[in-house]
Amino acid sequence: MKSKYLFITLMVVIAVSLLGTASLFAQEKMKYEDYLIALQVEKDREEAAQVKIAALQSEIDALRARLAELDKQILQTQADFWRALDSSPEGYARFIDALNQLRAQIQGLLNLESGELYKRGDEVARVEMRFEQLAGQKVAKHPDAVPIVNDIRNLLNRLKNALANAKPPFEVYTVVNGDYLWRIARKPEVYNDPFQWIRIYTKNRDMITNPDLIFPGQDFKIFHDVLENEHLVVRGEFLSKIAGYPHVYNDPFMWTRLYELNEDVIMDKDLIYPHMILFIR
Amino acid sequence: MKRKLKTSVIVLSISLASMVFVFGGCTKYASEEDLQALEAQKQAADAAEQEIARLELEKANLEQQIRVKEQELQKWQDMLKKVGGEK
Repeated sequence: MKSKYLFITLMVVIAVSLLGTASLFAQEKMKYEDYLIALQVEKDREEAAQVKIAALQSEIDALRARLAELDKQILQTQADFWRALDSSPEGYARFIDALNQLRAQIQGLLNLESGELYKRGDEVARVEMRFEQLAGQKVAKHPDAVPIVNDIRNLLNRLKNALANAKPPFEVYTVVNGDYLWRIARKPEVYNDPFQWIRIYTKNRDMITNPDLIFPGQDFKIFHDVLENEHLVVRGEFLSKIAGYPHVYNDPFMWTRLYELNEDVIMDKDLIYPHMILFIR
Repeated sequence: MKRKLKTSVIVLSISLASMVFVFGGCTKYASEEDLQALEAQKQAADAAEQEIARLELEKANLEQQIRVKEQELQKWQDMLKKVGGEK
């Protein structure tokens, strides 16, 4: 009987222990009320977010429409702009290239020495004409082109001033009584070398038909440099040799052309003299 | 003695049984399916908030683009005015 009660007591204790343990586990589960509350909170959060999403989407659609409208306006304004200039972006780029080339050319001329610049007066005139042509185009009114055009205009004015002040690369000698070419060339202020009489003759061939006959009062140009279209003969040269030079014709057989250009001063095509000035073009 | 023992056993059993009810109770808990549903709802709410962040970034980008385009348009309009092509 005693053992029976002891057995029952033991079973009860074991049962209680198991139930107690189970209840402890049960306390880690979410209570249903808490679950319902948490679920509603998340639903409310999602709903609020969806409302915000709809509003944002609407704003974004409006912004995109505004962006498209702006693009259209920009394209239209650009088209109007180029129409007003009678040009295009490509045409403008070509115009700027042309201006830059012209500027480089003017700067090159400005760097020349006075005598050299004097010789290139024709080139300065062509540069000026080209500038007027470019500056007169409608595309020159492009706001970015205006300062470039003004800068080139200033450079051109400087160039024209420099040309006006440029000294010719020759002096003028006026023949006096008793002069003859040998005597003139011998003078220190001329060539200080009588053998260069033929240089005076060939350089002033438009005034001297007969080198043995000059007249007082005649003005001869005394050059110390050789121009681009000329060749100064030195000892040992002959027509075919000169014609073969790269800066002349690069072809010795072109000596006939050389002869034609200088027939008035070459008596014998097989005979030319040092210090002669021959035209090569 | 027997009677005492019997009484003791009964009292102990009742006490222990009471304790079980005190600790365990008759509380209802959320099932596994409920908890999964709650998790899914949380994820949906998180995804919606992430979408808000993305849209706000897109909106800010568009506003910046609009500012740039407005400046560009103004520049072209000013240039058009300078060349006398204003409508």
